[in-house]
Amino acid sequence: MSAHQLAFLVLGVLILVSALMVVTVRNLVHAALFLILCFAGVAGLYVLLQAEFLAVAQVLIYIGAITVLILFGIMLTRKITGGAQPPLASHWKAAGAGAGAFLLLLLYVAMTGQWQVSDQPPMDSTTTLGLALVTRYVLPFELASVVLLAALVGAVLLARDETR
Amino acid sequence: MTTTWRELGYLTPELVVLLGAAAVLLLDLFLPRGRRRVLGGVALVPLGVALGWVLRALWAQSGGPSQLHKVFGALLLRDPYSLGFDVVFLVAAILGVLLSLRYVEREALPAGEYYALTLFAVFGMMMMAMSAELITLFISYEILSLAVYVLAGIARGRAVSAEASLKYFLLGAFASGFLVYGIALVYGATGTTVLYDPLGQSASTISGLILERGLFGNALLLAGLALLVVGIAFKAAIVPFHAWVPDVYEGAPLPVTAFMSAGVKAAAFAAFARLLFGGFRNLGEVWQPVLWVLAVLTMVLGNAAAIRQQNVKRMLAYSSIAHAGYLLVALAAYTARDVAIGSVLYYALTYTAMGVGAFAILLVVGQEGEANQELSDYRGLASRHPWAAAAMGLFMISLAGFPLTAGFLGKFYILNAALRADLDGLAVVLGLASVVSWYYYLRVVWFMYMTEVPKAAVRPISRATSLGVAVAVAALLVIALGVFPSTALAVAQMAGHTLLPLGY
Repeated sequence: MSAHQLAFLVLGVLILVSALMVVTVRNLVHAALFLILCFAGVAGLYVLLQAEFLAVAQVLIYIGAITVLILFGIMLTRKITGGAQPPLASHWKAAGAGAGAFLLLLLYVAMTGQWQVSDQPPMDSTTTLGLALVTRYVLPFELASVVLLAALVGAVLLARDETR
Repeated sequence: MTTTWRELGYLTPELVVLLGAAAVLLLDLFLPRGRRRVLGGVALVPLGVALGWVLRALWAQSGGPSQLHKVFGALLLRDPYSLGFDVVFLVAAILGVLLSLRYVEREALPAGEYYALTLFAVFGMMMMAMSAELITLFISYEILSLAVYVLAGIARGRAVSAEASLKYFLLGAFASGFLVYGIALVYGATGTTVLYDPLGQSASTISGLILERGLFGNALLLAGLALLVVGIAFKAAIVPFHAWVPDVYEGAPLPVTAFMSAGVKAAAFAAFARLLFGGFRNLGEVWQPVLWVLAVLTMVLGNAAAIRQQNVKRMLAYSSIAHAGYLLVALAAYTARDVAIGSVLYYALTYTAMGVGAFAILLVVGQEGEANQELSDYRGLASRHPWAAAAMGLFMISLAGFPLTAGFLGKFYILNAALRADLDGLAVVLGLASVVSWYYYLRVVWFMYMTEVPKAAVRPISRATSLGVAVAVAALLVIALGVFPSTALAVAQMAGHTLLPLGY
């Protein structure tokens, strides 16, 4: 087993175990912390795939912004920090069956599908990505700002103090 | 690859709507609280200008050869197809704003954000209809979705509105997830996200690569397509992805329900047809049976549930599901694509007129806090308010699909496409479903015309001018499209043809 495979194995176990913990632990703060571990594992996978930019973005956005936001959300909503919530909703059997079937389908697809593999040597992904964003994909890049503006207006509107 | 000013010029209506949204947001800051009602009027300006531009562009092409421009490489296509759907979105939005003018004031909703988000949603719809590339399609889908999630929950004082917004948001987030997953798998299978090239210049598109590399049975591609269909079917309110529809349509403020039932559905179908007929045209034999099943489920369940409703708003929500089923029939008729796509566009326009019209009457009859939406509130409406009853009657028989109304011709063209594609079974189901729908549409008419109420129980109706104008415009459209369909139909057919150019 090469070092690469070993690293993949370790990361894979880390991601799966921490993801399982996220949905099974009773304390929501602990769940959020396990989520950080899970995201860090995914960032590690990106590094293995030589997508350094994605790895950094993963750390900055998912760990730095999203989980911190979730933690804030948990702390500000006092009632749910207690940790007495049952972790499973009432329809968990049906939901589990659906998710399981979906997992099997994706596994089948990932195993049997023919992926298009580029025959070119890997390039500096940060430069390529940056160039693509301001040339070929400049339109979706700009449109993303409209998404953000609409989301910002909506968030302010819904979160604003009703009395003012 | 440079984008010139000339190319940006093709995006004029979209940019006008986007600038209008920004203008509304900025004006909202400087207007004193009491004068914010003018914002609705301000929002009508960009919508009107954009509609004028679109109609002029369609008019210029209606006689001669249709024009097709690629904008930003091949990410967007400015063709009669996108122009035709722009008409639908803009008409839905203009009617929606007209319905909102009085409502926003009465329910004390935040006017600036309300109209700005409406314009953002329209912008997203217009970009969706133009997208010929999956990433652009996804981002446009998100612009539309986020704006509508918030609009559904904008009446924060009412618990049902907040519930509608949250439900729509949570389920919608899953739908977006499916869409992105689908895009990733399709990219994994083909190495590109461009759906197709209508000018046939580039072979590295999804439709080109499917042929070139023979990807017909590729599991990755098929799974990706299935996930894309799920993501879009959710927005189009297709069974079994419809669970959110009744609660969200009932909980959202009425003008928002009117706007989203027509606009969001049309946008979803615009993207749907471009995706299936453009990018995955060569897999037609694979996706046609799937659409067949979805169409039957949607028509049957939508109508069956609508029959049981006593609340008119909820009844219209379920009937809106049924209408999505009729539209799916047209998409399934892919072997008769030269008429199928045109009939989708034509039906989207007729549904906008009659659907928004019916919701407008709900506003006329309804009172503060969305009261008076039960069927029994329509008792004896004809003797008290003959014009409102007549308009409602017109919308109901059009939705039911009676001759001399837009709804009849819309269904007729869809049936025509289905029969030409040898989908006899589907055509029969459509016919039977329509007959079933007569029951709940005509029941409203029966309540209005055949029942009486004691004088003391007579309730007032809203007499706002803007509401009257909206009802009149919708009614005129229903009659005009039903009696003089030739112009609209010719445009719809031309739009359909541009989606499948060159050697198809």
